[in-house]
Amino acid sequence: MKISTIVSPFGDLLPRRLGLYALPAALACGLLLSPGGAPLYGGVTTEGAAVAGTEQPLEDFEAEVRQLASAVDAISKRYAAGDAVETSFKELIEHWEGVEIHEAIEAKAIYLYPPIWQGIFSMKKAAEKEASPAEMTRACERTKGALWQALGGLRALAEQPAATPLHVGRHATEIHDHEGHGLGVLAHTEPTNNRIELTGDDNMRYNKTHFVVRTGEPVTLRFKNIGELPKEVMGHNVVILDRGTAVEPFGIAAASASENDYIPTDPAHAKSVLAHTELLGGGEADSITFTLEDAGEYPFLCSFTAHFRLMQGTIEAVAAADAEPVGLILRQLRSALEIYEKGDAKEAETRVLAAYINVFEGLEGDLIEIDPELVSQLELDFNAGLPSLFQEGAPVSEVRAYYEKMEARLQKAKRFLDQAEVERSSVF
Amino acid sequence: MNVVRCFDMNRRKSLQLLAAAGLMGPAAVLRAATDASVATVDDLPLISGPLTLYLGRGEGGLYEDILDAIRKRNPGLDLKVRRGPSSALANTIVAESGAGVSRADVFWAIDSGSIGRVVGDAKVRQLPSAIRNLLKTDFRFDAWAPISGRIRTVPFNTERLTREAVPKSIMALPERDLEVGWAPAYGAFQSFVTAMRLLNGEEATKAWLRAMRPKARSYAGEFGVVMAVSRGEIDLGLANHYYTLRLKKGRPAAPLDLAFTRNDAGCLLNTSGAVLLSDRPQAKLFVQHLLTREVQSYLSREAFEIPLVAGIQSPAGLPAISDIRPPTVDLEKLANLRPTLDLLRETGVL
Repeated sequence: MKISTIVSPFGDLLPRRLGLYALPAALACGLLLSPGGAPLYGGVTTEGAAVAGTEQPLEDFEAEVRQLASAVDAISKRYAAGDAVETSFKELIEHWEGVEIHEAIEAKAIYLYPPIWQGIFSMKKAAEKEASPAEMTRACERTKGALWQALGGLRALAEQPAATPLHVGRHATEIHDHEGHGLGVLAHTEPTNNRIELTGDDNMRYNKTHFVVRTGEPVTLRFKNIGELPKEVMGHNVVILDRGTAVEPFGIAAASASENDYIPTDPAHAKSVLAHTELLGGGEADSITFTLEDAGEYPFLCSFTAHFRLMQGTIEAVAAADAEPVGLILRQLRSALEIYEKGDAKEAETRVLAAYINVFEGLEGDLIEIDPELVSQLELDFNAGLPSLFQEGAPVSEVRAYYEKMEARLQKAKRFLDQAEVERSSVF
Repeated sequence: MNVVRCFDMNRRKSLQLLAAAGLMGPAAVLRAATDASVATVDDLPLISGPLTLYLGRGEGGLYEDILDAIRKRNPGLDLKVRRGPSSALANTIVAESGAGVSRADVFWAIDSGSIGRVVGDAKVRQLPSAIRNLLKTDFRFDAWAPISGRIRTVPFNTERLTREAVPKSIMALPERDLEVGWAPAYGAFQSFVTAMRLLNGEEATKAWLRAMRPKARSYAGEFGVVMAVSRGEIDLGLANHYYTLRLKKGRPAAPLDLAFTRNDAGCLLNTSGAVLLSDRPQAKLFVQHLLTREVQSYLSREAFEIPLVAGIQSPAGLPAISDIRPPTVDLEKLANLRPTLDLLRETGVL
């Protein structure tokens, strides 16, 4: 089932990795990309093992890890003795590609997958540069550590079969851009200039997962793979999908399009692709320009096999009016109201504060000169009025009535600001 | 790490500010003599190549306007911007430096405390003399370039108070029978209390806060303080300078004026600043753009910030600052807010 015609950056050490995923039957049985909530044991099947419905005991995985670890140790010893290790590398990689745990990790705990390849890659690099035996030993230990960590992750998942997929809990805060941390929703109040700067790395993470752009205007997206691994094992791209496209089925279909750099060619899925970058290896970058005509949320993902589980986000296209600072504030306040209606007063308060700190404070300067009373009132609205209603658990109707008054004040502020912008002097 | 170690020690007095123009009335426009040596943007070569800027949030869209102008002038510049609170970006840079990673070429922070953190703990590049010499003499540092300044002030209601009635020492304020407004939740106020801690010690600051608390009225923000002063709700307030200047620009007749204490936390000067984090020539050129006559004038004109390049007009309405006497403070320590917050809570101010 595994194709052996792949040109590998490891030379002939990686002969057939990519073809592993061109397995329609595997996808059909739902293993490779099955939802993380599905039980791992008592239901894990591997198409590679061709035994649909067969349980995969945890002990088998442990035995596989022990064998792999022994192979790694053997390479370390051979290298220290001054023997050639190229053949051993090849055998190790074939071994790693063939074991059942390999596919289980990809399907169930994909965040544990990159460190293993990174470990093997570091071993190869050490050999290539004729590093000291100590350095090779460190690389080998890194690889073994990643293998054992992967086994531990699967064990944890097996013990909590109904739990949220591991990758969600582990990376929830890491995936998102650091800018928003602390107030949680700051990224949603970032003004936009229709320029998107995105990176992906060897840990299968985008540096940012939410952008706001204006409809009807060109968007420039620059994407860089900031990892080190070659694209054949850790390639990344950015594929922008039409509104309403379900990411998971698309990601599954993309996995079988390796011959087209993981961009599906079948009409059903191809029509969902609005734009995409090239598939990039470590250190490579690409820029694309596209225009989103209609408002809404457009998913984006990395379509390399299974990467979408960790690498996905949304581009929110909004009308120009909603992308302006006051529009951003109003959207943020409306989202606070929705959250409040769902019973999360604390989060609602946080969103109001985010809108104040992240956007309104930056607008105050011009407004103070034009209508200081309006600024004074809005400061009260943001810092006392609306938050107090949340804290008191006021009826939704009362909160909405307050919001409407605040919206009217903000619209008035917008008229003033638009005028101030017209009159503003230029920098150069 | 102490940021001051990275400065020329002879410059430590530098934060005692600006040898600016002579005495002027409160509403006068400060017009320093034009310095022929100040660079204009036309003096600079174009910037080209990739550049990553870590930009601390502040001044709303004005910093963005500056970036857009720089992009427009330099079409060959591939500028990537990472935005966030200055303190958070400073921590990121320090962490990246510790991990041997260098993603940012330039860090532009809105407060010198964040700059101090980076200068103390990350691998920053020395400022070339070509950049250093653009700054006023007292603002020339080896490891960072101050970009613009803001100063603590005492706005007062001119119908309730004369300038002479405003104490010259912030520590004397509790002794006066005055109604005061402040905004304890505001970062600028907390930096002011931090400076008091550093200058006068924990016990004196605690005593000051306790004595002030019964006579101080709290507001959500410092603009609220200034508005309350102008309405006559209170006699005076504690706030950064630009709120009063902006209000006076829009309402010249408002019964409001600025006073300054002397050589204490009440007239603390804080600055935005830039740090070079790579040797890329475009990084140096970018900082040089920030110190051109055009950008400095823009910051003064539109953001009411105090320009730090010689020969640029200070914001309209700023009183003569040659008499202000800001205190000498270890800028890095201003970033250490935790003991200040503890003190504010202990005294019931927060």
